[in-house]
Amino acid sequence: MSAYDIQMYDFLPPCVKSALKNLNANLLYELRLRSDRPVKVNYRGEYVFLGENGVTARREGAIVVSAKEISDCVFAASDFSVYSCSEQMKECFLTAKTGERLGLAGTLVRENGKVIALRDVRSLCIRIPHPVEHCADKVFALCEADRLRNCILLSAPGYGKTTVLRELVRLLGVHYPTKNILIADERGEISAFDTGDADVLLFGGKKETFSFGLRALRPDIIVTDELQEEDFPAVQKAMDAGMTVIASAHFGRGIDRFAHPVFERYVCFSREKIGQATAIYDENFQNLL
Amino acid sequence: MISYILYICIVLFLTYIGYFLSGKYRAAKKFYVDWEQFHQKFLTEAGYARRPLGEVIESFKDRGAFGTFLTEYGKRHVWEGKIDFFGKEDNDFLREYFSFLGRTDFKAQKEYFDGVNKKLVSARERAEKDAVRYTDLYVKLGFLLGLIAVILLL
Repeated sequence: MSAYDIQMYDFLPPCVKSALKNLNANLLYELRLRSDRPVKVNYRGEYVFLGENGVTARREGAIVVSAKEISDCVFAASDFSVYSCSEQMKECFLTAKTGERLGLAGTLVRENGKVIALRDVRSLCIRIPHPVEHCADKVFALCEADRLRNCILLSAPGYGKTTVLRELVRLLGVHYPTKNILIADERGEISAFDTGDADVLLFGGKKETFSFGLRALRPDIIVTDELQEEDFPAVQKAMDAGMTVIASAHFGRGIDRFAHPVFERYVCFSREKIGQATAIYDENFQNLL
Repeated sequence: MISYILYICIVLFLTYIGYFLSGKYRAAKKFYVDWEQFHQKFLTEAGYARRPLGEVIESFKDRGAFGTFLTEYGKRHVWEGKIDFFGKEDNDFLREYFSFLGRTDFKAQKEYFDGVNKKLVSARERAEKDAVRYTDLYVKLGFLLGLIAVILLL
């Protein structure tokens, strides 16, 4: 691994960091740390255990991390300021300074029916972002090259939507240099790498970010990640106001069952080809590939 | 004439030694004053803007012994050493305080550090009183020793 890669994993427990030096960072997609359980990684698209010398299929040969190591890991990932990430942690995630997203499991503390904190974190799911140049070339060519279109990337989690979205931002910046791009980055993942001239609104909900962004920043294009059911009215509003919306959403069923046919392009990904579009549908749901 | 100058020098030197030996009490006072200011700033910055701890530490790095301590602590965010001019109780308090700093959500941080506030204020007040009392005592002892030495020389 390069010095940059090692720096990215700086918040991890020393034993995990040391084992990762034996892996190719480009093939590492996810790390799963559970208190007093063996460490699992998604390496080359497969879940395997992480041993001292690299990946192993044997559970017995895997590194085991303690609750203290998990707590230290969260502390370091929060830039030694867990309190500054309280809002993220209430939603069970944390974005490290170097762009990795940590999914957290622990004890949710409630007050008056509202979640006020997440404490005693015992499991971490760390997704490793990869800047992959040219991974969005085909998507860009069929969706945005001739003119800007509202476009949504669809797949189950972990199939590379965010990576493609990030690369699309770069291509939009190159091909439409005079357009204003706003990234509504609720989880800090799209803007983990260089986003050029794009404006970035970090860690806000879609509804407020779209509203603030539209009024304050007058974007031509809004790029956002992981749309939820309740976000679609804000998306529709942005489209009605003349913005181009490029987004992603978790959706792993047939395109005919997608409930929001407001886009002009629907890009689908599958498990077999992570980060590569397996189908691109137009507004009439004709596959362009 | 020369002998009188020598006697005065002996008294001044031993008085200065007394002042010098009481330096650790003044250092402890200064450390507690800076620590309390850091504490207040941390609660304000963390509560209002949720600024990361590193930014608060950065603004205190030029505060003498406390700044040096913060620089060391900031490298790993763990403190296992000890401050030379602190007693065991003070060092334990320091270790406990910094082992909790930044590790929880703001509500838990505030609850803990609001509780610590009283202890920190009383420790600072004690250190201030000690600094005055022991500086006074050591200077007087040094002066007296100087006089005794002069009397013996006479």
